[in-house]
Amino acid sequence: MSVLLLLIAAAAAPAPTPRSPAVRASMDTRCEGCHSVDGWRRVTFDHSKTGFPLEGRHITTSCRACHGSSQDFTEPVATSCAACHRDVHLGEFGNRCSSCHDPSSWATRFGPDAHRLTNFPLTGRHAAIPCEECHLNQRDRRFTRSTVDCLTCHQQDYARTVGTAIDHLRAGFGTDCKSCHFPTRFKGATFPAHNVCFQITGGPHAGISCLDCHSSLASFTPTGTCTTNTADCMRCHACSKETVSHANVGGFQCANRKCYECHSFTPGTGLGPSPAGVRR
Amino acid sequence: MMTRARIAGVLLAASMGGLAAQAETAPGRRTGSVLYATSSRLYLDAGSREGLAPGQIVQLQKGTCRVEQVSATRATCLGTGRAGDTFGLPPPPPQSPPASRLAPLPAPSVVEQRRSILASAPHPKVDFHEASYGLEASRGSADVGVGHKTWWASGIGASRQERVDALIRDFPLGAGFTLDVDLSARRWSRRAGPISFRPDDATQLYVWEASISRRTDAGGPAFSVGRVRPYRVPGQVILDGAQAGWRTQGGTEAGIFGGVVPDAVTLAPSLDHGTFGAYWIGQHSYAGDSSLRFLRHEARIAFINTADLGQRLEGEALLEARVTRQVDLAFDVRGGGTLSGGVGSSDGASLEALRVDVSVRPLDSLSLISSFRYDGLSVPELDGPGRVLASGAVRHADFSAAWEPMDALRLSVLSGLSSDLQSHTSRRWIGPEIGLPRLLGDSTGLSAGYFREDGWAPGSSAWLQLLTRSRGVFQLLARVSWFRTTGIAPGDLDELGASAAIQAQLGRYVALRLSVFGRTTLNGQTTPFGAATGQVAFADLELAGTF
Repeated sequence: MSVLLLLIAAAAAPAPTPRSPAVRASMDTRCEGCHSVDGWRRVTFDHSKTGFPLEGRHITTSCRACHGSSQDFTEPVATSCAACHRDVHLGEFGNRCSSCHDPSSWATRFGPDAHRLTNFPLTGRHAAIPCEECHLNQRDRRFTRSTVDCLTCHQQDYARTVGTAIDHLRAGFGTDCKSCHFPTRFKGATFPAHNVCFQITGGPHAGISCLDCHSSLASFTPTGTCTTNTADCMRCHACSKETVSHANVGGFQCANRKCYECHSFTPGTGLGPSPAGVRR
Repeated sequence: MMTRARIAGVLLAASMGGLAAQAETAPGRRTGSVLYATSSRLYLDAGSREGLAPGQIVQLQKGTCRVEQVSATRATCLGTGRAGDTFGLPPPPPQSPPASRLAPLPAPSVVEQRRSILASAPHPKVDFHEASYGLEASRGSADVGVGHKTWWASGIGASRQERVDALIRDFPLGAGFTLDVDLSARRWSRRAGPISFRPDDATQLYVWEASISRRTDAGGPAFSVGRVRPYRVPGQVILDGAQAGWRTQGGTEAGIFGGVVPDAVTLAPSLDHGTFGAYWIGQHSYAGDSSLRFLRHEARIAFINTADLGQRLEGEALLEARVTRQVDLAFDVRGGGTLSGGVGSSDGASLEALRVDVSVRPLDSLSLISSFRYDGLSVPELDGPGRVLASGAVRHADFSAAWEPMDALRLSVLSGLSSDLQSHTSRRWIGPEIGLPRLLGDSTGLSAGYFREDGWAPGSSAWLQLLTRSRGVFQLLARVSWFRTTGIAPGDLDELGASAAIQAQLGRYVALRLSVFGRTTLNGQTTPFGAATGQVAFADLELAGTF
């Protein structure tokens, strides 16, 4: 019965009004799509529907700043940054400005963390120095020019050791700074090659500085023979105590050279007695 | 309480009944009657429509009652009486004129007939003429900032810099002329530690652009004069001189440029070096049904004489295209050769730079972005007399894929490669990133990622990042990062860092920006957070105005 009533009602209902031809979706007819009666210049348009959502400063940018004088805003416009923004980096970084610049202020947000996605991670103190300390060229605002070679930036630091107690040039130290120095600070360097003769990266002498043991490095030459004749063990280890503790050691002499002939503290030697006689 | 509820229920029922009886209420009714009576309350057959109101005293045939609650057509009255008692009604309130009944809808055929009459009726169209049309197109912008920066490192101390930056773009000067300025004035109030860059210059001024231009969309002559960053001339160094050309209405432009080249480090004017050349700019938009939607092509050929590279001949071409809505392509190639001189000169012509950018969005939820850059020119950088920072060819490539299965989730993979072809060192990285861009609606997003790194300084990175903003008013970007690096020190180096960037809009034109960053090593040759442990910090405070 209900179905019958529905059929009757449908048959009795007036025929649907034929739909007017669809309004052409063009700029000249669908004014209300963007304009309102509040004012012709108060335009509202959901730009995200175009595939280029407006963010940051783009929200308040004049339409014509990107679309030019064309009356047809459907005309394609390049979406790359360089199409509107002047590339002060001369194209070095391509089109993706947003990886470094904030769309709300154009202020750079490229920091030490982002620098890790380059060939030179900013570790230690490198993370807090002005960019121009390494990237000197201010005219072209290019950044890829610096190399990762330590000496490129630290050649003055290397030269500064000339005439000091640890004259790198005279001692024959290489220019691969990172083999001895941490990026956190230059002072307090380690010398891993030293472990072959005497371990200083671990054990009881870890962290000791060069001149705590060596009376001089002026004539030091890293020959690998462990014979600098400048290691002054007795500066810390008193003969009076060591003689007693080595009473049963045959051939013991309280002499600098004799100490490290036996005690290298290198891994595997097993000769790592506690420094009972250390003189503080 | 129960009584009041019952009264309300009766009134409601009475109201519903009254609504049905509205039509029965005779206009100009002068008397009412008691429908029902209890020991203390009477129920009347009249209500607010008849002029009754709470508190009103109703005069019955015998005695009175006080109106308690009123609906449109019924009321309760506190007092005594009997059903059927009558009472006089106050004069009815003036009634609003009855709404006129709408005329029935015309038949569809009539509507169509009227529509056709309207469509065929002649009427003058009104065009909107924007008074400031031409001005708006080149209204330009001005950004001015006053800021302070501090760099601090444990064991060294702080370096402090105050600065004023100004960026003016297309500022109208009248008669179609515009002004462009890009400069930065910096004052080092304190410099700590070994200083490499201009150690003797506490005050520095950099002017990258200060030019007057005339370049209109209507076409015609186009030129810039002053310290010019040549308009859309790919790869061209800034110059003190002029750029002049002819521009068509469609944006195609060709011309020449020439001038002297400022110093690379100080940007001081110099008559010792110069450049001149010719350029071409072209762009075209295609119809919506075309696969190729946009094409931009730029080229230059130039002679350049600079201190670092000597006398050279360079050529560069850039091509950028948008294919459908899914693909963006950019291609840039530069070649050149040294004619004579130059600290870092090399003989013969060579490929000096190549850049390719490809962005593909096969689905609305999937985007693929990749780029490749090769810079083959060995460019020594001069930092004063006697100091040359030699650098060589570099190569960089990266690829990222991002998938957004839903608005609130974004999954990405990022990877890259960077090589120094002179020192034969390179690094590679790859890792995932998970983003919740709408963690708290549109205002707050969270992302976390991890990189595995390889190369001459291998290691790992992990980070957690929070972005919250109130659009146009406030924005906070906070980030916590952890890094492990090997190969860059005698031992592994673990670092923990945190940073925050705050931007607050103080008014329509003024914004305050603050960026802070801190990092400490967690191991190395010193104890974590110890006094001698490497700790660094950076702060940047800026008051910026945008006009």
